Amino acid sequence: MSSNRLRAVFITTALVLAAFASMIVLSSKEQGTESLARNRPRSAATGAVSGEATGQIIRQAALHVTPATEVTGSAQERWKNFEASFGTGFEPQWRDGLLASIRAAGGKIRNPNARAARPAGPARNGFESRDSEQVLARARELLTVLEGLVGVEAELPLENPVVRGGETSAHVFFQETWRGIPIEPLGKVSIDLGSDGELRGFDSTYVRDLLIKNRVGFSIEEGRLRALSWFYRFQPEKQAVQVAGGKQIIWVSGRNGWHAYEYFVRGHHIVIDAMTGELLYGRSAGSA
Amino acid sequence: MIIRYLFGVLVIVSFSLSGCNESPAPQPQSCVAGLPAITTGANGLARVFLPDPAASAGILSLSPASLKLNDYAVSRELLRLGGRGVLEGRYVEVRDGLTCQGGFSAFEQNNNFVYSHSDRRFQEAMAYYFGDQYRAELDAVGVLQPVSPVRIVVHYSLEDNSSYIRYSDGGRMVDEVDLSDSLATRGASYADDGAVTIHELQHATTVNTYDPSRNIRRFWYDEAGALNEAVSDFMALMFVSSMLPTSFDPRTFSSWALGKFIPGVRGTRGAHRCPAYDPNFPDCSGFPGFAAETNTISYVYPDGLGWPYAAGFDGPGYARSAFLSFRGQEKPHDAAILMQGALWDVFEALRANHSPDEARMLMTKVVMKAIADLPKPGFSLSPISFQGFAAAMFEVSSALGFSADDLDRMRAAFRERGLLDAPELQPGWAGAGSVKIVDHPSILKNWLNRTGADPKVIPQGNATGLNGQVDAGEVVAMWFDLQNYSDLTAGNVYLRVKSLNPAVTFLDNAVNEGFVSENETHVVYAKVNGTEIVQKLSSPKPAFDVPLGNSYFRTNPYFGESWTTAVWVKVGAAAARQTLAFDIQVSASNAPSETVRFEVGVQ
Repeated sequence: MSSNRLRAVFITTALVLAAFASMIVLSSKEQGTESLARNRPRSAATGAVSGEATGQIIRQAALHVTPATEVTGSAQERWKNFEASFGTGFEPQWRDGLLASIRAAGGKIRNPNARAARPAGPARNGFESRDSEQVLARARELLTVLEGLVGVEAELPLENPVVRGGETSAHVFFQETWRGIPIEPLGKVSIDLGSDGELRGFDSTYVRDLLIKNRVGFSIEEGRLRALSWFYRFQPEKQAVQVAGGKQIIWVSGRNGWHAYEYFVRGHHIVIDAMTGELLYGRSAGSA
Repeated sequence: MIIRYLFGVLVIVSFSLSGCNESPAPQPQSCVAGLPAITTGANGLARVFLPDPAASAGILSLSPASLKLNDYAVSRELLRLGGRGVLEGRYVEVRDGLTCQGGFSAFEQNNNFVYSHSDRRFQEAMAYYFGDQYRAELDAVGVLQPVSPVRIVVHYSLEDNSSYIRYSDGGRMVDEVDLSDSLATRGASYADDGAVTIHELQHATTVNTYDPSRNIRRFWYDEAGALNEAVSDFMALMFVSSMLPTSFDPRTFSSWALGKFIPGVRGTRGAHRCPAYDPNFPDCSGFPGFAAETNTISYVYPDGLGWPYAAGFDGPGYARSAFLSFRGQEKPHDAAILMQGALWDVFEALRANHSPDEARMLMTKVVMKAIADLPKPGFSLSPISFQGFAAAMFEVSSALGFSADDLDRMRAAFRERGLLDAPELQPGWAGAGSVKIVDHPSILKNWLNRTGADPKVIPQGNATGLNGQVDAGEVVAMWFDLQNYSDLTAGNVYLRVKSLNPAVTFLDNAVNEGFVSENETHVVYAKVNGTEIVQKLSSPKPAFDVPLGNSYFRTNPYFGESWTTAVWVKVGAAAARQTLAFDIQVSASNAPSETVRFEVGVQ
């Protein structure tokens, strides 16, 4: 055998072994995992990302986020668990097999079967919708039961809750993040509670199986000039323009996410790719 | 090009440095550098219009070009100032855009912000007065949002506009109201109209009350956007109503700035039950009817959505003329008129049992709490409707312990406007019609440029792009002529568009507002006529006939003049000579969900 043939046999053997090994690994990962009926197949984790230079744009292999939250039990079973704890008479609404909204059945604002919150402690007589701590605790209680239906993954946690208490209702907003960076414009979960802590509404634009498509290539300050240049492309007649804002985000479209910077230039919302500077989103953002 | 932009930035920076005073001690009539130390108290003085020059003077016909405007300003006390000698306080801070690049301009060591109208600091002081008074009232009612002061930038630019925007700046949320100076009428400022200032400040309240980070409006023409405008107009009307002379109609919004700044254009809006070209205006005795030959139009849901408010159309068929020439039918400010009128009706209904001040406080509380209770994006990316808001207001009022009589009056007012207890369309209402295609590369690129999206996504040239049909390899804008077989009109029509051909995908959310995935995107049409309104507005007399139809294309004849209700579709080479199928799940605020299939042939 020539050395070339030996090399070819070696490479082929290595590829076959690698493929076989990966099948075993994937097979073992799938065992004991019961996916939701219409769930997308979950992605395998990948390690470090290697870059490939193509002209001025560095293209990367997609980084799959590890789906660490294992889904157990069927969606129907989970929904029954939810009803047992929080009441019947709700209508779930699904998108791609994941829970997107919960409303009172029949288009009503309130579900008369919704269960009130239990007293939070011996010192308390009942739920107080103006008490931020109680409201947040109740929201977390709901979220714990619902996160399997929403498809929450460990690497894409729901964080930074904002609590709005009131005399007749309360509202809690969670932000999905990736390594502490907020997901935009999706990645929001909101929970509406009644004055007794009963569920009135649940809405999610949670994104799972996120594919991060790039990395950060320049600073948020450098991004200001790039945002300004994009603004002048579609508003060349404007003068004395200032760039406001400046926030690092993961910009999501479908299941793809890009490291991005968000700015506001004279009422225009501008999101640029934090690696290439390309425009990801541009729109007039103000209310006139 | 980039050199040009960089040069522009340098010019801006140098202009900024030369225009502002850098000395630590601020001087009158210059820009204030930094934030001065606290040297004075919380109270001050200003001269303002209440709420605009014409109302202050009691002269309906007063012109912005009048040399006597300064005579009509009155003295008012400024409260809750920060004590630094600039116009920053507990609820608002007022800055100058054109002269000070968004920095403070007015500086008075003794808080004596008294200026003549020709001094540009007059508008700063007036904006502070209205902003502080309005937000103090929101706070007193317990519905203040955002809690931190709102930034108001007066003399923001030279254009006929004012706006509100919220953004994150270095981790801090900034709520900013921008009030420009009129380009059409030099010397006139939108900050001279207190109703405009309150309208924009209310946007800050509405948006922050609804959600701490997301905007309430998700699509160009969803009812959420119209509700946002309706609430802003209504709250401004309600707040300034007690300032108006009896000869002024309290239901007319911004008769000063919107009514007078642009010659020949009457942009006023209002809370009446019919438009100004209805012969029964302002009493609107024809309400809730529609008739072509009597020019009777009513702001009742859903048929009254989108009819322009101001007069200025040609007769004798004014309704026909409005339909045929008005291009803003689906726009939020126009769709809002029906809802702001309904809110005004409820306000008046509450005044039967309460003083005007009490009724205003009750309405403020109920409106804000109902906004907080509105559903958030989830399964639907835009789940808000006028009818849902009316139901939320009724629910909140009930939970707050309103009397049975107040609740009855509220229900009756909303019912008359078609917003509560209204009939619904029955299953089988929706059907598929034709599909409009725009593939002209110049038109598409121009639209993308105007939205701020990147026009490079259009691959085709004139070889295939001039036939108005779908060719393989093209990116096209597409509209669906949804048919409505019901006698009732469908409002807030939500389309979930799914492509059944894998070679046909939707452009991402840089272009499609309702992008969900490559094979699904959403879009909202403001309404699709039912058969009943088509018949009511038809006439055998050509001069009066309003040529409506019971489909989307014949509800808004100008739908295809812009991209706002288009879905952007990429047609792969593999789709050549195929018939493309789109399954559209369509729902409406007053109609059940249905699925209809549209088909398009590919060249």
